[in-house]
This record gives sequence, C-alpha cells and structure tokens, in this order.
Amino acid sequence: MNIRNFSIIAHIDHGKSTLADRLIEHTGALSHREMKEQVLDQMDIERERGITIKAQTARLKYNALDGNEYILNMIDTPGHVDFSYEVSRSLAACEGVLLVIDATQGVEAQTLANVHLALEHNLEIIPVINKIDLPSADPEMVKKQIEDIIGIDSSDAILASAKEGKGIKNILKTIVKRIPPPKGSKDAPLRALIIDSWYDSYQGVVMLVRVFEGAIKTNMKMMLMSNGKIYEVSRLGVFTPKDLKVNELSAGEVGYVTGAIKNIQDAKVGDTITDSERPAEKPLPGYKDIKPMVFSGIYPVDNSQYESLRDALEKLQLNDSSLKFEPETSIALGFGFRCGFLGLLHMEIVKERLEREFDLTLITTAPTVVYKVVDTKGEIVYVDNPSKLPPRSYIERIEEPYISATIITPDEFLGGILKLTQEKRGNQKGMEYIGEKRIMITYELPLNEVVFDFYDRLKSISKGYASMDYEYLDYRPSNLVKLDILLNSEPVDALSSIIHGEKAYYYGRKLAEKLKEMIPRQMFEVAIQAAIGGKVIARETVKALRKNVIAKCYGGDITRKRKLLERQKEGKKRMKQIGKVEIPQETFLAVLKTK
Amino acid sequence: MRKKLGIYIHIPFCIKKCGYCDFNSYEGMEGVIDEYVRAVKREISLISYELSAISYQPYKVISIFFGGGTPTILKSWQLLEILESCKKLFNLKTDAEITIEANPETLTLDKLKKLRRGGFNRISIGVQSFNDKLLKRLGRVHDSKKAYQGILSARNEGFENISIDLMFGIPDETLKDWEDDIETTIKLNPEHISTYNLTIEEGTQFEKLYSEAKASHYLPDEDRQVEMYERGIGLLTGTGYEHYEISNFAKACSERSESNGRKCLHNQIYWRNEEYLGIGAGAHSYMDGERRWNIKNPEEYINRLKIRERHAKRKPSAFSLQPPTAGSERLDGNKVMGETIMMELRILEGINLKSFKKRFGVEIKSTFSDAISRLLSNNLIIFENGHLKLTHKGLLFYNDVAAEFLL
Repeated sequence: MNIRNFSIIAHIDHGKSTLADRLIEHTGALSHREMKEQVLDQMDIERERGITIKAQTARLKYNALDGNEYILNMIDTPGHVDFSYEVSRSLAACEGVLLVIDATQGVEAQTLANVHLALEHNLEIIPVINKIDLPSADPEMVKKQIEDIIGIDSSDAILASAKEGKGIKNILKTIVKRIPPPKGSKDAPLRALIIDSWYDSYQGVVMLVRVFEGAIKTNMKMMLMSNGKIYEVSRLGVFTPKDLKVNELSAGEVGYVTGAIKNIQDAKVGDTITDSERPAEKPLPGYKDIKPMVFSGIYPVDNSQYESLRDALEKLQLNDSSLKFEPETSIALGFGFRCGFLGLLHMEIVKERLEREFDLTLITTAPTVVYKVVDTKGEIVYVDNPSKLPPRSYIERIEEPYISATIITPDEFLGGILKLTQEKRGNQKGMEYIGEKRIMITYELPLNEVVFDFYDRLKSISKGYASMDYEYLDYRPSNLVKLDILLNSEPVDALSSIIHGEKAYYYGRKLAEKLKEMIPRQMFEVAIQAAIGGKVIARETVKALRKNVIAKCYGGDITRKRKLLERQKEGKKRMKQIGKVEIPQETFLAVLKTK
Repeated sequence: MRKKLGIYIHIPFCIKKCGYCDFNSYEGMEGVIDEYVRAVKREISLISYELSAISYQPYKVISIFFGGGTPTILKSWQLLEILESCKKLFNLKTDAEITIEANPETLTLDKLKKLRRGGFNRISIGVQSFNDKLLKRLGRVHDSKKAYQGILSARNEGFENISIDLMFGIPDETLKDWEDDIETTIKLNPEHISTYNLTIEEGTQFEKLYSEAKASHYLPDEDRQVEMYERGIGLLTGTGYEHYEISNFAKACSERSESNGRKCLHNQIYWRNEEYLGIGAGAHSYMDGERRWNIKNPEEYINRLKIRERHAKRKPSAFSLQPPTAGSERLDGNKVMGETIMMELRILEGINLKSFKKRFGVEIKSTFSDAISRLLSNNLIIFENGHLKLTHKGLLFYNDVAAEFLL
C-alpha cells in the first residue's frame, strides 16, 4: 500500500478548510452532491468562526500519473494556540505538511508557530500560496517572506486558489513526490498514537489513531500505555471522509478505534495504544498530561439552572478532556463551577456552547491564571481563584506564569503595540523587519496581562492586521496583590482580582469608576469601594434614585405603560442581588473592560 | 344593570406642537378638520351600530371627554355636532360629566358660551404655568394673560367645574417659580388641578434638546423635582384640595352629595381599569377584555372612514364593518389583573380589597404574597381601611411598585 500522511497548517482564514474540501472533491472521495462546504469542520461554532477545534481526518484514494494508486491520509489540525498540544499530536502523526499562506496577507504569527512545530517533528514542508485569484495577491512577496522569515526554500511553492480549484492537481502530485512514505514495521509490536478522541453515545469513546508499528485488529485486547487500562477493540474504520469499517489498521495507516471505553479521560490525546498480549517496550514520545492555564467561574444567572449547568459541562467534557471543572460557591453569584481552560479561545468556545447548545444563561467571572503562592512555611499553593488567595501575612511570595509572545504587524501600528506591551508589563526580546513593511516583535509577558483584554486591544490598535501567537515559559516571582470590591461594605467575591502592585491603585480607581457607571441608581445610596488587604484605595458613590414614577397615565397609555414597566421589570430580573444592591450581570465583566 | 361606559373623543390638532409633547397631535393640519369632524361622526354611528347589534346598548355612558391635541381649535358648532351625535346614539346618563380640553389661545367668550350652553359641563385648561418665561421655555403659544382670561371667561360663561393643568420640572424653573404658580392657581379657585412632572419622552424635540449632557443641566435635578412635587402636594392639600391621584387634585365639594367631589369621573374610569370607547385618530378603547386602538394618522383615519361611506351607500349592512382599528390586544385574566392593579395604585385611596376579590375571585394578598411582603418591608405600600395603597415613598417609586404586580 502506498501511503502518504499529511496535515495542512495555516493561519486562521488563510483557506485551510476550503483547500481540504477541494482535495476531497478532486480525489472523488465525496461526490459533488455530498460535498457540504468545509466537510471536515463539523461543529456549528467551527463553521461560524472559520476555525477547527477538533482534529479530523480523511482517507483519500489518489490515482497518480505514475499509474499507482495512493492512499492519502489528510489529518486536519486545530488552528489555534490554545490547542497547540493537539496540533503537535496531529503533526506527530504525519510525515509532511502543506503550509498554506494567503497570497494577500503573507506570513502571520500563527503560520510561524505551526512551521516551528512541523520543523520540530522533522516534517517535509510544502509551501502553498493560496488565494492567488484575488486582485491584491502578491505571490512573489509571499515567496520572499517564506525564505526570509521561515528560512525554507520557496522556489517550488505551489500557487493555488482553493476557492477556484487552481493548483489542486499540482498539490496532489507534489504530496506523492515529496512527502516520504511512512516507515515502521508491520510485524513489530503495536504502537498507535491517539491523535484525537471523542465520545459517541452508541460506541463509547472513539479514538482517532495513527499506527506507527504493528497492526491493530478487531477483537484484539488493546492497552492504553499511560494508564495500563485494557479494552477489547470492537470496531475499526477509516473516514473517507464517510465512515468505512475495516478489520485491521497496520503500520502507516490512519483510522479510528472503538472499544466500549466509557470515559474520555482514559483515551487521552497523545497516548499510545499497544497490544496487551504483545506490548511494545516504550510508548511513542511526546505524551503530556495537559493542564488548564486559564480559569474562570461560570454561574447560572438563575440558580435553578445549576443542575442543568453541571449536566451540560459533563456532556462537553465527554468530548473535551482538557476542560476541567469543579463546584464553586460565590457569595455574590451563588452556586457555580470553577472551570479550567487551555486558553482564552477555549474558554469562549466552551461558554458559547453552553449557552447555545444547552440554552443556559450564564455569568462568567473575569478569567484568571494559576498563581503559584509560596507561603511563610515554604509550602506551595496553586491559586486559580482570587478569593482563595491566602491572607497577605501568610504569603512569602507569589509567582505568576509568563509567556513568550510573537507578534507580527504592519510597521505603522508598531508604536501603539509597543505602548500596549509596555502597559502589560512586557519585556521586549526581539524586533526585526520581515519584508518591507512588516515587523516581528517577540516579547515576554505575564499571562495574567494577556488574559484580560490584550488580544482585543491588539486587534483594535492594528485594525485587525496584527497577528499573535504565544507559548508558555515559566513561573516568575512578582509583586502581586489582591484587589477587593465592596458594595455598601459587603465584599463581592466575584469582583476580586489579583493584580500587579504598581497598577493596583490606578486600576482600583478605574474599576470603581467603571462600576459607578454600570450599577444603576437604587432607592438608596450605593457606596463602591476598592480595597487592598482591608485598606480602601478608592470610593465612588451611586446616588440614590429619588423617584421613578410615570406622571401621566390615561386611557391611551395603558398598554404602552404596562409594557414599559414590564421591560423595567425584565431588566431587574436579569440583575444579581448582592445584599440589597441589584447589579447587572455585565458588571462582572467590568473587571475585564477596565483599563 | 347597565354597565358604566366612558367615551373619549380625540381631536389631534394643535396650533403648534409643543416640544415636550408625545401625544398624537399635529400642527398645520387645519385643512382636514372639516373632513375629520365628518369622519368622527361616522365612527360614532358605526360604533353605536356595532354596540346595538350585540344587544340594546347595555351601556350607560357616564362621561364624555373631548381630548387632544387641542379640541377647542375646532369651531364650536363642530364640537357640538360631535357631542350631539354622541347624545343621539348612546345612552347618556342625565348628569354625565362632559369635559372639553382647551388651550388658552383658542378660548373666546363666544366659543365658551356656546360650548357651555351646548352641554359641556367641565373644562380642562392647559395652562402649564403662569410664568411667561417658563411658557416660552415650553414653547407654548399662549402667555399668562391669555391663561387668566381663559379661566375667568370660562367661569363667567357658567363653567362650574374647571380644571387647570400645571407642569413642574420645566427647564430653568426654580422652586419659587413653582410655588408662585401653585399660589396663583389656588387664587383662581379651580375645582380640579393636575400637576405633571415634565417628562422627557422618546422621540420628542425635548429629547434631542435635553438628553445631551450640554443642555441637561437646564432641567431641575431630580432632588429639586421631588421637592417641587412635594411642595405642590403640601400647598394644595393645605388649601382644601384632595390629592386623589399621583398627579391630580380635586376639591371636596360640599354641595354635591356623592363622595366623589370634583374628582374627574372620566379619568377614574381609566384608573379603575373600567370600560371606555375611544373615537378619533389613535384613540384607544377597552371593552369586553379587549384593547383596541385606531389608526393614528388623521388623514389615514379620514380615508378609512371614507371608504366605509361608499360601501355604506351601496349596501346599508356595511355598517357592520369594523371601526377604523389599527390593532387590538385581548387580555387574559392575569393581564387584566396586573393592569388593574397598575392603574388602581395610581389612585391614592388605593385598591379596595373586597372589590378586588369580587372582581377577580382571588385575594390580592395571597396571589401576590411575595411582592407584597417585599413592598411592605421597603415601606412602599400599606394596608389601610380595607385598601392596599401607596405610601408617600411609594408615590415616588410608583413604577417599581406597579411592576411587581406585572408578568
């Protein structure tokens, strides 16, 4: 069997999914009629946002001009930094990649990050310059960038327009020619890499795998090497991309495995499957138990939805082993969950799915990173919720996670971006021109500053042109304090935040001002206080409302005025009551919006 | 027993539209007034025909109210023709309250005389203020002199039931200005006084003028407005007026046997959520659990009724056609209950617990126990003499109280 395993890597919107569609169409894997646009991206949110969240595969039959038939396994990868571990596992399953770059946009931060991953895995890289049909396409500029920035030969980069089907034949031909066939012996003990896994209510956990050595067969007793658990293989198959059952997957092949596995935590991405009766000596390299980096409290607006929220989180977790959650109680918000995410996008997607697919109305607290607190006894505590920070007198020091960020931007926005990174406590590590008008900046930044509003502001400063990618560095000691908010002397736990000491005064004042704007006047005065460790650093007052009365109400007004009052009441219902003070849900995001 | 009914006739024309006004009224439409009068008379006959078709008019009309706009922009004979149509076609109680709203600039001795003789027994005059500076601020056409003349002439021509509309919270107004207006009014000894807090309504010229920060400081601030409201209540109740609705005051009248005194009968129909018929452009009706409203635009309203006339000529049964309705809403029991509480709370006497039980078959206390205990603990309502009523604080937060009983 002639096999080629490859992935497509690209920056968001550079046309990865459209290209995948064309390849499927061209090889006749699906008839035109069956082609749904971007067949590989299945979830609604993926399609709407134009990004891939879960990895998918397609096995394509390709009759090459040399007269041979080839099996091309296309392994789709998630396209966002939050999922970089999953990307790295998808890439580990390949021998080569198509590097897709938009001919009008050129190299972006994410392109770079993905190329580095591909290089780490020693993959053959085939540059594809996409969207050449657009009037503003500049393939020569992109070729130069590929050489200058990425440092790979771009002389034979393929010019393509996935939208119009241009260059597709050439891509298929090049895949066969340049990407090496898989090695690995069919007779060695089984080693198969889990690229992705998800839960199916009929079959249990479905694992997408790449077999490196040996073969996996139906009814085999397979073992998951990270936890030693054994399951019987109940079904094997490949996606063409339609589901096709097979009896065996052997070295070099990509397909799926089921084995009546109930819990997705048992089939983690990156783990190795082997034959329990003839186990491999060592698992495949690269397996990591990934930990969430960003945490946020998720609460139902209506407390009676607490159980539904738990069910919904459990259901999402079936397909998303990186989502973590545990019950949490807030004085202000009642019962909810502290949830851990891989990153901000992951958080947004989860929240959106909870609201959309499960019809829940939620309040999310400002995201926070995990702080490493060393107490006076020298013990280490990890804190993922500001309200859990030990009292100041017990703290020896607090450390916060740092990231290394790469930002690529047109040079006209450089000033604004430098100002932003400065404000966000960044240390510049490098800056260089790539091409004529674009600059690549590398920075070390505290993650805590990035989870607030960094990305949105970067986008607005650069009118959407700057791109960013980042990777985690380490924990570093920092001057951090806890800022509390009190309403009429009652602390509102959900509004607490951990913040850099030097920024606390300024930020506390700003936050109090912002809250003053957001909290509607009530029948009594509302005092808003910002405090650090019991010391009030800012105070604002929401003056008492003196009256709220319709002056005139006669025959023609009744329906209209009733509706007006009903609207006022609806508005109130959506508020949260803290003591006697009613505050709108958006208030909890004020922490996010305060600059 | 025949059910009580009020009739409202809308006259949507003004010499000039005021900047704060969001009523269905128009300036510069004098050209269509003649046709409008004909259309109104036609609607009256349509409705009376419709009512008779149900049964032999099971209603007793206790009040007719000509509102606007400025009804007195019409010629007196036009107003009287409309009134005659009503008298002819509806079952009118002999001592029915027949009110006309008027603006000072349209009042002449002759018109007042004819209206009084023709049967109007109550006049409600839109004075707003006796202070020329404030009248200018409001963009009113009349000055204080016109206002005095209008009131005195009405009295001279035999109106024994005069109501004066006043407004407070006017741009640049001081507490002293407001006190002066009240005192002047008291001296004129009207039977009824309405004091309205100027409200910046959506879509009005005032909204554009005063919602922006640069001009909003011309408006008295909220503290001052509350002070004015309370001062008004103090002065008026101190001189024998009963504060009987959030914005309304009336003399207790010794020569009248009923306890009603000079409270406006017609408006009490609204506040007790009882039935009324609205005739004219944009007018609302409430009958048999249904709210209905007419086409707002006077010209469209006239057109609709023209078409009807053509049909009517050809085929007399065309009178069974619907009136010029733009929309309607049928209210379920809970909505009716909510609206009734919303409206009745406006009356200071409050909601009669027994009547409520009789009307809706449930106790208000048990149906709304949560809301009531919240409101009681916030000192917004009290139970007194078999009534549930607003406290003084409740008057100021009427919207919050009423909203508790809705949905």
